[in-house]
Amino acid sequence: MKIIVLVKQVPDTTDVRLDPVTGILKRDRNKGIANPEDKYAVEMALGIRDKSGGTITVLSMGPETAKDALKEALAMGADEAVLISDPALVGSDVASTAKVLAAAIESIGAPDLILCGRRSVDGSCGAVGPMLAELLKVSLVSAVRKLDLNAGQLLAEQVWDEEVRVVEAATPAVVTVSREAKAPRLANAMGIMKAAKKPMTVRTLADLGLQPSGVGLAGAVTKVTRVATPERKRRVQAWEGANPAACSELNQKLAAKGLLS
Amino acid sequence: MSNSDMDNPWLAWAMTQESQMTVSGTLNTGNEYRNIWVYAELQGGFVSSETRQVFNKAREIGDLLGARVQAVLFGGEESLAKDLVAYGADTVLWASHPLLEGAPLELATKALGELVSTYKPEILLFGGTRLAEDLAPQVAARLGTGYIADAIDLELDDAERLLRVTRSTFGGKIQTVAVISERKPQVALVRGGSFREADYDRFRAGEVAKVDVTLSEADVRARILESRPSEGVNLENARIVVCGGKGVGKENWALVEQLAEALGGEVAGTKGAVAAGCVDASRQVGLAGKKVKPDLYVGVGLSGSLDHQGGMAGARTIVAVNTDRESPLMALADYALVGDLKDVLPSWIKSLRERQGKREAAATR
Repeated sequence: MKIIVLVKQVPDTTDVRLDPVTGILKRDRNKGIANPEDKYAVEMALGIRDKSGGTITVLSMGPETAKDALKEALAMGADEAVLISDPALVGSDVASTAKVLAAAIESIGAPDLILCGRRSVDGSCGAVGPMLAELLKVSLVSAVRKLDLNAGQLLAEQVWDEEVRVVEAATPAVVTVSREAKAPRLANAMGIMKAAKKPMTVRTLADLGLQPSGVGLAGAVTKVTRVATPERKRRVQAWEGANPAACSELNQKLAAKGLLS
Repeated sequence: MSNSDMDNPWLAWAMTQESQMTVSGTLNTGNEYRNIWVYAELQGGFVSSETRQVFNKAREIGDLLGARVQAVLFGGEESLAKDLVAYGADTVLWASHPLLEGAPLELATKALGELVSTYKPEILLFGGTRLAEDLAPQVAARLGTGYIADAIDLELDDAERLLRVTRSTFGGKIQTVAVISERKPQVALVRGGSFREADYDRFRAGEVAKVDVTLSEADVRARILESRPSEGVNLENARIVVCGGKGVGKENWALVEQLAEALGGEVAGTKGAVAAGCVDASRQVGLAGKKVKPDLYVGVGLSGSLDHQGGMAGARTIVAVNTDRESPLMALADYALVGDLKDVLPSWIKSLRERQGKREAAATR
């Protein structure tokens, strides 16, 4: 069983600050972390390896600092890490990211399963998984909370709005993992020590046989033309202290909007 | 058509107009990318609300661009194709292949890819449904074009014939505008609730064009064996959410639960409340937790960190209960009860219960 897990490094959003003047995200002082949902994917991969054996390769695309996110996954128990890093990748849109990751997966060699979190907390498109499945011509099962593999088939519990769907699909497949899956383990000291000795390979675009013109800012077909902080639209109506008249007035406001039964 | 419809001379006239419109030629067979497509999703046997919302905007852009608005419908009945005309489609491309019934992902992707390659729309829009979140990026990847998710507004740059797509990120704190240049079609997914639903105009004229797609059983990669209602809490779809923060503390958490009960809502917590052991991690709201979009959100004893806002800024009506008037949540809130939650909450809960009691008494009278 060969499993590849995609891990993205994202800003630690519990510690995100906005520049009060420009309203733009201050990324420099924010330490990067592994995207939380990707850690759920690592946990799911570890569960499958426990049952069926095999190897787990964690794969990321990003700057050298993204090694930290990969180390987190190695410390959790993944076997090896591959980082695709190249100056030409800066400014990649979701389509070219998926293209590079597809090439990287092909270079690592035919996996039975590709796992990743359903969304990243920063871009939050939820598009890399679906795009990757399409580019690799394999099945996609998104937002999975439970996964079993058996003889070239997977059986997944998929979160679908207010339903749970039991889906059977052929492998190889791309499976994106929901937060309803088993929560990721914390890496212990032993895991962190072992991680330092596990293989971590850094590859460039040339290693993947890709041209810089087709990726990064040069290859991005989606271009961001403006970043803005929206004006505050709401004006709060506030009542001071615990007075029954205020509560009753608030209830009336809510009832008028059909919010109270 | 019912008898009363037959008696209506206006409708009879409209029907003749419609049949005169039913000629081929509205489909684009040239080499240039033209027209705006809306993927029409069916839910419970009807055109989904999200699809109708997209039609409203697509119609506006189509009129500005001088382009046709065309719907793509997979499966369903011809009456649904006519509904799409009533919602604003000039043409409905209707593929009624039996394998497309229920729009299985890989088949819908293949069929849509094939139709786009043949009839070349310049813009392809999806309503923000669960299916479309998978389908739209797959179709974009298949066509080698760009994709913009979670659009909250669409504008047209008519000189460039480019769609300017506004996305909201970091819980509405940052808006980015993006374009897909140099590739066609421009594919975007519109977040639900961004636009009003298009009106149903039964007198609108339009054409239903049956189109063929090549699909076989061998294209099926995944099968749904079973579908059942999700057990347990579904915060993401809850209509009312009461969320407590670090400021509540374990000793006062029962007040948050009582308020949720009085409002008929679900209990949730911030990262801090989860860490303090007040509430289960499955009920954490924030960028690092669940994203909720209730009609009513009540935040108690929480300041509204950026992480938390990322999980709740999509709420329609926001009530803040906090001692600090200057907290970030107050800036988002519609209403606020300013004061110590130990005093304010019991007072509010009492008032809600009294109101409920009066209504019940009135109902039994």
